[in-house]
Amino acid sequence: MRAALVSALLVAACNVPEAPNRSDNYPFQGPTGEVFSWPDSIMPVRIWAEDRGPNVRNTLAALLLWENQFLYREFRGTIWHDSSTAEIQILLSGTVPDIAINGDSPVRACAGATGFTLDNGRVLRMIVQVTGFAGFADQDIANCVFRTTAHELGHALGLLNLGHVGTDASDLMFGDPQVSAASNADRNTIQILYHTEPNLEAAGR
Amino acid sequence: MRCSTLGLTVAAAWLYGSGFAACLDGQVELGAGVGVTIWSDLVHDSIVETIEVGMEPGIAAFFRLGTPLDSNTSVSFRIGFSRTEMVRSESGGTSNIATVVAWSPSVVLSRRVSAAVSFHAAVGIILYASDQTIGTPFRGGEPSAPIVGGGVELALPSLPIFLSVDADAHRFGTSGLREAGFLSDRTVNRVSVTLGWVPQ
Repeated sequence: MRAALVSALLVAACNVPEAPNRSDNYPFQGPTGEVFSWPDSIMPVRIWAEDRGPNVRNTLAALLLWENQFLYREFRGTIWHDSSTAEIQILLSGTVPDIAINGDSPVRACAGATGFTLDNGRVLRMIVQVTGFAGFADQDIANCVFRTTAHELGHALGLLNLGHVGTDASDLMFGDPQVSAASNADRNTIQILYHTEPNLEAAGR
Repeated sequence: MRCSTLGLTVAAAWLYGSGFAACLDGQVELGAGVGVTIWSDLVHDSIVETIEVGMEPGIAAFFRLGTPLDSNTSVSFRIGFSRTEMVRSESGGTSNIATVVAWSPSVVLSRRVSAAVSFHAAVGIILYASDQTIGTPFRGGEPSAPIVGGGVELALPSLPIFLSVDADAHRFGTSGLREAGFLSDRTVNRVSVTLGWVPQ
């Protein structure tokens, strides 16, 4: 009886589940092969969101969305009060109603862009700009602004594939984002990025 | 945190009950101990490179309430507690993921083989609680699982103190890991060394 129990434990102990297949992914490199991720040494990454309309709420939701794509806390961010000492700035302009998003069909009622500033060849700050367009229904603008904020935050985390090569409409990082949640490919790609040696460093604090 | 609260409530109720029971019946034995637990790895992953997720050696404690079945055999209800840091290890070093608490209520059968030595076997459940869920293996909720174990207890002559060495095993898996593509759970082994005390 005792021998059977020990044998069962030993057999069970040898059973190590295989690592998941993460082959469903897309390129994360920048236009000239840049690989960038925020290093452990400055986490949580400070994210400042302009206090305008739904921007702070959208930024927090987008941050949680991206943090939850990781399994081992490779990335952590925090909403930061001071734009001058934040690593990521999220700016909002144009017409943006402060209403909750819903599941309506996506309409291109906004636009976004992400750029970064360098300090001696190292990334000092990521700057995200989201703009709501006039002339669209309030709900369409609100939905578009959230999708775009989450998409641009993905770029700010290091998904520098600015041409969106290899993405499709089910991915948050599709060029014209149609969804407001991360896909399997988004998840796999950001995980792979945060275990890849960067060739573009963060400036640090 | 839910599990911690539940565990604390159960522990408090049990301690209160055990004290009351001990007053009623001299055959009831109360015991408690503190020590250290070491864990085998919880997750093996590969993202560009090999990643091992495990626990740092953590503090261990237990409380138990037992009663003899005969002159050499006893049965007890035991609540084990362990608090430790979950960490990921890869080529770049080790990083903290979360602080994890594990409660393990179990039923223990003990057999004395000499005046100072007894062996025991246990079956119960392990309940995890973590201070972090977002972006961790606990992102879909903290798991619980059946646990089996055994150990040896060495009584120190003429002192109400004993040394207990315990090993146990359970299957570790979370809904977060399964959602990420892990198709099965992994067996996790723990070894605890505790110094215990039995009120005379």
